[in-house]
Amino acid sequence: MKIRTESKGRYLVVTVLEERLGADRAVSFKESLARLIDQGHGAFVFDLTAVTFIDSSGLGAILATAKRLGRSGEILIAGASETVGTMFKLTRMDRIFPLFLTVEEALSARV
Amino acid sequence: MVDSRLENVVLASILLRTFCDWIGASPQESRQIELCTAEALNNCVIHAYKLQPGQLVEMCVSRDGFEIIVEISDCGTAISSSELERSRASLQDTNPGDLDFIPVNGRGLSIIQSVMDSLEYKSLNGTNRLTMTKRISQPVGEEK
Repeated sequence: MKIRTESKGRYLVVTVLEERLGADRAVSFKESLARLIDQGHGAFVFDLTAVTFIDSSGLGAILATAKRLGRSGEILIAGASETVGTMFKLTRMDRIFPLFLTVEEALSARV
Repeated sequence: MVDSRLENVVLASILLRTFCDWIGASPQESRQIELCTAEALNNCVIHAYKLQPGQLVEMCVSRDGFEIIVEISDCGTAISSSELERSRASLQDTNPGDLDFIPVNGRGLSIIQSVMDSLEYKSLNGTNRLTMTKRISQPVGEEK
């Protein structure tokens, strides 16, 4: 799973560089995020701007990451397209992960 | 026919979306059908065949007037009646509540139930068939 990371203050911005976050990518995505948590990162912004497709496995990888982080961790979602945002709303995951239009908006909201 | 690998799920669902685009489904409708097809195929690969490659998953797509009908069949472990019953609960009925109690997986069937217009599942003589339909608004060749 291709991702790019960039530290922005206390947040690590994880930009997903692939269009599809489906079952074929979910495990490697989850493993990549687990490594970042093991490196000590506890607050994330997931930039999903490039993502045009996400299924329940992709959502599950994000959820599994949140569980691994625990209550002290934080995950914000940025750049979700209408399709991806609809998936978060359909599954009520938007109640767990705040959705922002851009990474900048997500970071500004948490200053 | 699709070999039971997750990478083939990607190909099959993109192919289906292309078909939906071609017959006049809206972008939203095509994406919805693609999602549900991927969920159903994932279920076959992951749950029916336990991620064993080399097994066959059959996908059959047809159009009947304003309806797109997708049938997905496998010869693996069938979905249990309790899982089917659970999937009928609306995703909106579930309360996110405490993160600790939210399951990581298991939403695929519920998503199909929520998005498609109908879902039928039959298991007979070792073959499991999931049939889902979606009405599209303005298919090519149909009067509105």
